[in-house]
Amino acid sequence: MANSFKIGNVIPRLFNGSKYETDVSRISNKIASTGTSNPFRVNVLTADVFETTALSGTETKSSTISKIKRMASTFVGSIGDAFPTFRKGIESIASFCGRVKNGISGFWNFLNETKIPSITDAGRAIKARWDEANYTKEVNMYASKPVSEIKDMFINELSLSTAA
Amino acid sequence: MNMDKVRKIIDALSIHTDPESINVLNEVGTNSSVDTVRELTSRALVKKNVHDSLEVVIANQGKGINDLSTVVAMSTINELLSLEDKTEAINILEDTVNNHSEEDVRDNARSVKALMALSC
Repeated sequence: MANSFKIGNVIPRLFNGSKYETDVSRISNKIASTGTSNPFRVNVLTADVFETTALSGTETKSSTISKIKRMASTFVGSIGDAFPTFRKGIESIASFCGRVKNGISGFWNFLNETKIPSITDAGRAIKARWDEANYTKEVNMYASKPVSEIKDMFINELSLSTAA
Repeated sequence: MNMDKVRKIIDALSIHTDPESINVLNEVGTNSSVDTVRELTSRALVKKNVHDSLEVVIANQGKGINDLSTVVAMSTINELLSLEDKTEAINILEDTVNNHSEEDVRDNARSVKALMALSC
């Protein structure tokens, strides 16, 4: 059997397929032509930067520079395309950090602006309310008495001041 | 003198319903030698807001708005201006301006009447 399968024949084809294929399309990027939504559409290589044809002297040098430039151009194109995504990510992180910062500073301001009444003031307020209630109660008690009795009390108090 | 007790007595007389309370305030309170007692008494009479009590502080020489003490006079005027119903006070002031025998009392009543007209 002439076409019998041999692993030794297959291995070179697997790792160096172009060597055995005459029709290898390198100028048309299949991924690039799949649609406008393809993120790689701007990275179509217009030249084969991996060309391995032997060149001599200055040709080799200029060709290498040219390749480097193309590769750099491709790389920059990739960055340009990818950057909005990174920028959005960075912006969202910055926004989040801003919110956290504002939240912390807002909380700090809230703590600084919050006036916690002292226990002394609260005690004074309670005492004042208590005194006022007692005062009203005593006034009503006096007012419930006959006027003649109140008059005597009044004169008695004023005479005490005269005597003093 | 226990001023706190005096204050309570005067306040009690100011809310007392017996008309005799006005006479007690007039006879005892407004004739006191203590400015604070006269001041409290005058304010109590104004708070009653009846003809007899207002007449004591408006139309009497040396009492209420005519008191020799500026503090007592000003305090009485302030209490008059604070009244919600000033009708009776204005009537007595007009009557005092037109008919009182003492010029000082008429002048004071005229001034207070002008103030009350502005505050209405």
